[in-house]
Amino acid sequence: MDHAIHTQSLRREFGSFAAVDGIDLAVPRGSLYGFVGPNGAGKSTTIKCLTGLLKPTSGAIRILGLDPWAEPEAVKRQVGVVPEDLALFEHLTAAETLAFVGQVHGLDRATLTARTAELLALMDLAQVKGRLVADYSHGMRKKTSLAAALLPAPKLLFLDEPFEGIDAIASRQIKDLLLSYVKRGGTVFLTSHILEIVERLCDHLGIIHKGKLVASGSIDALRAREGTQSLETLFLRLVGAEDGAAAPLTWLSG
Amino acid sequence: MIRLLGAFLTLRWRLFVNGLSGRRRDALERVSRISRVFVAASIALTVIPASMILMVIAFAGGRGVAEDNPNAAAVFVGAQAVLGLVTILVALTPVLRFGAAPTSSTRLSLLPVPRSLLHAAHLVAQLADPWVLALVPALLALPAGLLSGGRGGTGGLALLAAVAILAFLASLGSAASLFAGLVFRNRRIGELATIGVLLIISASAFLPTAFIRDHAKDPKGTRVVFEGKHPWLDVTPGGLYARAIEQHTVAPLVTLALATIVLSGASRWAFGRLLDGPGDTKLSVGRAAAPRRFVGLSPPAAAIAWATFRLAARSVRGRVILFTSPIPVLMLAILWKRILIDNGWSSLVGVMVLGVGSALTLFSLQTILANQFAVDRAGLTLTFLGPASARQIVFGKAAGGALIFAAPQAVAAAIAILLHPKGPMGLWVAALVSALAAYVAQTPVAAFVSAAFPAACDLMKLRAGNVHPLAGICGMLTSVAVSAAAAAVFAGTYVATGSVAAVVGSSLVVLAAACVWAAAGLSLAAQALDLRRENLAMIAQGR
Repeated sequence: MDHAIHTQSLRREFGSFAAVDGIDLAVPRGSLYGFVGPNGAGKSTTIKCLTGLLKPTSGAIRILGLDPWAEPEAVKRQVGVVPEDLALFEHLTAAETLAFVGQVHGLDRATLTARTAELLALMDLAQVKGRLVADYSHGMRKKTSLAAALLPAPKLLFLDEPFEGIDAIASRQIKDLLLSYVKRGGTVFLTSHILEIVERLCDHLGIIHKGKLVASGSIDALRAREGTQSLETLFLRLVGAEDGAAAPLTWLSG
Repeated sequence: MIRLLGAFLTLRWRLFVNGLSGRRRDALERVSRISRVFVAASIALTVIPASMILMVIAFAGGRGVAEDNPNAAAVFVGAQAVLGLVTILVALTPVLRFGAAPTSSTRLSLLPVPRSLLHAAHLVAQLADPWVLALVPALLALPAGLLSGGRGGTGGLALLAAVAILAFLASLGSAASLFAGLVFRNRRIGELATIGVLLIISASAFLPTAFIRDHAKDPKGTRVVFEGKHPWLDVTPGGLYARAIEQHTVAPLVTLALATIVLSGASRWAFGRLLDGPGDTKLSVGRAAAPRRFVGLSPPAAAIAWATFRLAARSVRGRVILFTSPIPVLMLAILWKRILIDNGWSSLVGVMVLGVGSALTLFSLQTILANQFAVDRAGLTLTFLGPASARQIVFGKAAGGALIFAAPQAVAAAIAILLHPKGPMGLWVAALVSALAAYVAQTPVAAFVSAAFPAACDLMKLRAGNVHPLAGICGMLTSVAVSAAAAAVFAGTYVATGSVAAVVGSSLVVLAAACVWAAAGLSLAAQALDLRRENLAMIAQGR
C-alpha cells in the first residue's frame, strides 16, 4: 500500500527517557488518521519527529516517500503543520503571516493574494487582519496557524490538537474543510484528546501509550478486533485505564 | 500577613533558583547555564561588597559627625547622592520591567486574601528590591555611628529617618510598579510610555551640558565650570533624609511621611484598578500584507529578512533600539559643535560623528543580532517548518539585520550632515561604505553565536529581551573590532595619502573583503544552525 507516512522502529529519547519507543506507523494516503493517547504518551514528540522539528534517536521515517532528514526542503514543500505551540510570529498580522509562509513556499503574488483572502474569510479573520497575532485569542491563533498550514496546498497535513480552544462554529467549519480535503486526495494526521471528534472524523486510528504504538489501523478493523463499538471503551482498554477510576477524595464535600 | 509574605518570598526564590538551574540538554547548554550562574554571582559579588563599603562609610561618617569632625559632614552629601540614585532606580525600574510582573493580577485576585493585606504584602515586597536591600546596612550603620560617638538623640533621629526613607522607597516602588501595570495594560500606550521614558533617560545625558556655564575657549583649551549645588536638591527624598539628621529637625521627616502616605494611597488605588479588570491590549497596524522582495535574495530569504525587520520595528525592545541609538550621536554632534577647537580638522567632524554613530548603532543592535534566531520565539518554528534551507535562513537574517541597521544609521547620517555639513562628499560616501562593511563583517559571528548561545527572550517586553551573556560579549567585542578595523583603514588611508579618492577606494576594498568573509562565514554559520535547530526551536519557545 502507498503510505503518506511510514515509520520503522521510530525512537526518540530525552536523556534516559524514551518519549517515543520504537513505533511503526503506516498512514495510508487519502486517509484521515487520528493519533490519540493519554497526556505525555508521546503524540507531540512523534509529530515533531515526523515534521523535522526533532531528530529521531533511531529508526526510519518516510513522508510521502521521502526521508525528511535527507531531503527536508522537498518534504516541507508538500506538508502543512499546525504544531502544538502554533508557531506564529507575535509581531505579524494574520495576513502578513500568510504572506511570509507563501513567500517561503515560493507562491506567486496573485496566487498568494487570492488564497490569503479566501483563507482569512473562511477562518473569520478578515476583520482582524490588521491586528498583530500577539493580540489574538487562542482560537484566532489556532485558525491563523491552520490557515498558514493550508496556504501552500499541501498533500499532507499534520494537526496537533486542532480543535482545542476552537468554538463550535469554527470547529464545524474545520471538520468540513478536512473532510473535503481528504476527499480530494489529501492526507490528515491529527492528534486530539476529544475521542468523539476522532470517532466521527477519522477513518484510521493510532493509539500511543508510554511511547509505544498499542494499536493502529482502520477504526472499523480495530472495533471488530476489540469487540466494541465505543471508541472510548476501546481506548481505555488499550491504555489499561478501563478499571482505573480515581480513588474517591473523601475530604471533598460540597 | 507573615504566612502570605512567606509564600511570596518562597515563590520568588523558587523562580530565581529555577531560572538559574534551567535546562541542560547538551554541552553548549551546560556552558550557557554556567555562564548565567556566573553573571548572577558576579552581580552578587559586586553589590554585597558595595553595600558593606557603604555601611562602613556610614558608620565612620556618623561617628565623625558625633565627634564634630568637619570632614565628616561629607557623609550627608554622599547619602543624598546615593539615595537620589536609588530613588530614580526605584521609580524607573517598573517601567523598564515592561510587562514582566512577577505575579499576575488574575492569580492574586483568585487568592482567598483581603485586598488590603495583598496590597500591604506588595508594599513590603518592594523592600526586597536589591537596590533598597543594599542600602539597609548603611541606613542602620549611620545611627549606630552617631550612637557610638555619644550622640544618642541624633542617632535615634537617624534611625527614624532610615525608617522614613525605607517606607518612602517602598511606597514609591509600589506606586510606580502598579501605575506601570495600569499603563501597560494597553500595549500601545505602554510601548509609547516605555520609549518616552527611555528617550528621557538617554536625553538626560545632556544634563551635564546644562551645568556648564562657561565654555569659552582660551589658549590652554576648553575651560568647563560646573555650577554649585542646586537648592531643589534639598527637597528630594535624599535631601530631606540628610537635612533631618544634619539639622537635627523632624520637619523634613514629616514631609517625607506625607509623601509616603500620598504614594501609598495612589498605590492602593492603582492596585484596586488592576485587580478589577484586565484592560485593553489591542493594537492594529492597519497595513496590507504583500510579499516583499529583497535584491539578491531568494523569496524565502527575503521573507525572513522582512519578518526580522518587522520584529524590530514593532517590538518594544526593537523600537527602543531604533529610537534611542541616534541620541548619543546627536549628543556627540552638539557637544563637538560647542567645544571642538578649529585646528584644521573641523571639516572632518561630521564624518567622525557618522563613524562613531555607526559603531554605536552596531553595538546597540547586538540585542537582536546576537540572538537573531531566538528573538523570533514561536515564529522560529514556523520558519523551520517551511522549505527554507539553513543558508537561506542565515542570509535572510543578515539582510533583515541590515535593514534594521540602516534605519538609525540614516538618522545618524542626517544628524551629522545637518550639524556638521563640511567635508568632501567622497569622505561621506566612504564613511557610509565603511559602516556597511563593519555591519557585513560582523554578520557571521552574530549568526554563529545566536545559534550556539540562544536565549529565550521576548522583544515585546523590555526586560525580557536580554541576549545570552556569552553571545552578548562576543557580539559586543566583534562590533568593536570590526568598527575599529574599518575606522583604522579609513583614517590610515586619509592620513597616509591625503586623498579622498584613495579613502573611497580603500573603503570599497574593505567592503569587498567583508562580503567575501561574510559569505564564507555565513555558510559555516548555516551549518551551525542546522546542528542546533532542535535546541533553538525549544529555547526560542522558552523551554
